[in-house]
Amino acid sequence: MYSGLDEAAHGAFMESDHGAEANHERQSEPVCREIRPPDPLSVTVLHDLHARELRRFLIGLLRDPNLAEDVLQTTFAKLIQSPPPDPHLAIKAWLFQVAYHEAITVRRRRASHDRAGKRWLEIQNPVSSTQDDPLVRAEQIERVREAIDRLPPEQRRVLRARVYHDKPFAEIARDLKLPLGTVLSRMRLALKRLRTTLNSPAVADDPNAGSF
Amino acid sequence: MPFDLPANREPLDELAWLATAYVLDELDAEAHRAFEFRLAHDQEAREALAAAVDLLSVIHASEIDRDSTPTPVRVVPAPSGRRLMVSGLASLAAAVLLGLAWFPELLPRSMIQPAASDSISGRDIALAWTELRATPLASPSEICLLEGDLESIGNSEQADSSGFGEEGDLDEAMPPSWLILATSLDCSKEGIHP
Repeated sequence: MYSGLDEAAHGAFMESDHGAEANHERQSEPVCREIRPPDPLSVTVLHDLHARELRRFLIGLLRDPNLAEDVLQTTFAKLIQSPPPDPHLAIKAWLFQVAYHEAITVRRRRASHDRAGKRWLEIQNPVSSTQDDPLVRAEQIERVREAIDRLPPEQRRVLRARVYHDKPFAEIARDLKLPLGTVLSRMRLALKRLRTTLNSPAVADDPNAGSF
Repeated sequence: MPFDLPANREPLDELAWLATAYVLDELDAEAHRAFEFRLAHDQEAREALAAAVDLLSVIHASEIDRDSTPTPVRVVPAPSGRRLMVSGLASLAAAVLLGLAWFPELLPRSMIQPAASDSISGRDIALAWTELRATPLASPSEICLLEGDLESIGNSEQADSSGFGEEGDLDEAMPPSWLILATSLDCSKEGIHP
């Protein structure tokens, strides 16, 4: 279920704080003694491995980078306070599951929250919302920009109208006097190409690039 | 919202598209709830959502950067001090030449005269001649002074020995031919300039 990186992190997490005394206690009390709070190093490793992707997941759910950051911290706090009961559960999946439930709880608490939360364009503050390495981010942006320039004009037009001008697909279809299906197809093709560009091996510096 | 997919779509592609539509608020209420329910237990869907946010953020940032980048214009580098000085001198020289072309009287006379002629203009000589001829009451000393001046000028400029400065010329009623020629040339030059 989890990748090699996740296995290593999981191993570090489960093997932490295992001394001779701990082994003795575990033998005498086998039930629930497998679960121990991870040491700070393990938490740091797990954070480095998964925080970036978790943050994006939470932004997608909450549409609020600051709230997403809060939930992210809560998620890792829970990892320390109440680690996963199932030692065979993938840590990554556990983190996402905890983050999801925390996010849903936070969303329900927000009285002013509507169905979709803030609109996509409102949460777009790439620098503050992603907290990536600026150099890596700049390189990604440049490569995607070049890929956008290589898109067929009709795909580029739809992509810009939807992502940058935040026009719904139906409105784009009306503006371009095209069937909605055509607009959607162009958007999908454009996104597929750009996703390939973003996930291409050139992002070797990003440790999370290949974990998905 | 018609987000139905063709049958030949790959599952991951479909999931990525669904996650993108979710982020863009393009799912209807039912599809929205269904996708969120899926997020509760489907790790692939969660990762697809994270990837969709990542991709859309980068696309948006790339367009923002493109808009904030000023339109490429031809940048003329600021002139250095040396280039500025040379340019200024060249402009000054051009202005001086132009001014002298329009107002040749500003030039020193030695520069106006043709190289082959004497340092004094024919008009001056003609005026001096006329004045000399018009003032017969001039004293001999004045005549000698004028004569000496002319001689000194002529000697210093290595004037030709066509008779200029000879004592007998002053007594002639008509100016010499060289004087008429010099005057006519001088007048013709003046006629060129406005």
